[in-house]
Amino acid sequence: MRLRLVLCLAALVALAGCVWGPRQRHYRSNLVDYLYPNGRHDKTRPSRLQLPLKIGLAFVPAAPAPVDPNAEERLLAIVRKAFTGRPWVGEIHTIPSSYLELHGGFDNLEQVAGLMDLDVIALVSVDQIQYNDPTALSLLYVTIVGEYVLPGDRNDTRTMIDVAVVDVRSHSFLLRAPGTSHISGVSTPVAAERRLRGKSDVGLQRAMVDLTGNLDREVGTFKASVAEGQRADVDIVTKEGKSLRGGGAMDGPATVMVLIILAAVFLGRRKTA
Amino acid sequence: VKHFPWITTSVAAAAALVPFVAADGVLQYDRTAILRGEVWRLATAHLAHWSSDHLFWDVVTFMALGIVCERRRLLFCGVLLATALIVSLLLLLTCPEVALYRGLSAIDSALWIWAATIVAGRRLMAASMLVALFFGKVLVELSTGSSVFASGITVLPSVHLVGAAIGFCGAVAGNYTSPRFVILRGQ
Repeated sequence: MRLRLVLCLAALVALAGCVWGPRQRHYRSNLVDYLYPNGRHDKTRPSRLQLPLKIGLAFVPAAPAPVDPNAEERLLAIVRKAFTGRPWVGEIHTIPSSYLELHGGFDNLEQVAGLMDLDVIALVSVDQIQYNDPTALSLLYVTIVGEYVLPGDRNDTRTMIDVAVVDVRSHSFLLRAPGTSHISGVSTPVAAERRLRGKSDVGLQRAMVDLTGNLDREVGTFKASVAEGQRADVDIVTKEGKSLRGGGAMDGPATVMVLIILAAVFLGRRKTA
Repeated sequence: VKHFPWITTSVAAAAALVPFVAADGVLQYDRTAILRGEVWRLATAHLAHWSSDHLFWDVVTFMALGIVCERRRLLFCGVLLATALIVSLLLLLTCPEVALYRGLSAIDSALWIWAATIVAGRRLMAASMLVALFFGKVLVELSTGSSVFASGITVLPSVHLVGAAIGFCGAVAGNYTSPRFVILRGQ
């Protein structure tokens, strides 16, 4: 009798394991794949950023899309709100993902920037992994009713968002900032999918909020690196048209002419002597 | 060895070394940092440069003009130091919009006009050409706001004019205190 009971339980556990085993979902959009399709890498030119900047915000296109099109605008609005009113920001526009082609590269970015009159584009890439694991309570799912009422599944949503700001004209990479979030919870197997979708959205929102703080800090670091001359490829020009980097410079042609005149005077004199 | 332009060579070498030893901008003119007490920047800003192009043309010009002007070393040192400090102080006092500054060209400008006065003693035509060339360059900078080779920076023609004025004063002081002038004055 006891042996039969143990065998039945073992069979049920095995069955439950088959039906409600661990599951994993992974959404990922890759910035490098988008910007450099087929491994092609364009040569960058020196970047001249005229303040105030006209900025575009967009999610890197991917298949399947990691972000629901309805949520896109709402998520990007978090970043837009954080930077509205900054003296270096002129306009911020969100770019619908339908404007960007998969593996579109800088050609696609230039088209969009031209269409929306943008200087730089902040591209948001997403890496989100969701785990749904059964717990000891999931044994009771065999009762059918348990599937509806017992929260025996533990879910985990880990999100990493990365914003890369690129200058469209020069194809220069300007700066990047990350944002992360981690949320977990429990659900019934019937509600698991719905819960995971909800958690995905919440994870993205929290990562976006985390990102805005990091982005603010990275902008400060970027400005300092330009000012210190560490980013010699980037120049920032103020509203008045003056570069952040002032200087006095000798021109090649003028220097060559000075050399010729001095050589004529002093070498000529030596020959005469 | 006596006539070797030691000061010119040393200053040029120092400017060439700056990108390797102080690439983080610790020597540049940084208005905020100077007002915070980092006053060495007033002098060292002229040794720092924004790019290799910027450094190359500034140092080549400095070497050529320094070789001509470095006859009386005390006076030469005085002109270099006076140009560096006066230009930086004027930027600090009169140009609050200039947050950062680098470049040897203000000193180059001083030596340019000084060299023109030295050349004038031998070839007036050549000296006139040097002066005309200098003011032509300043006019181009005033009209375009940039320099042909040192792209990515805002060229400040006013520092070149101030440098030229100091160079002229140095030339006058040099003539006034030269042994020949002292003898003539005595007669």
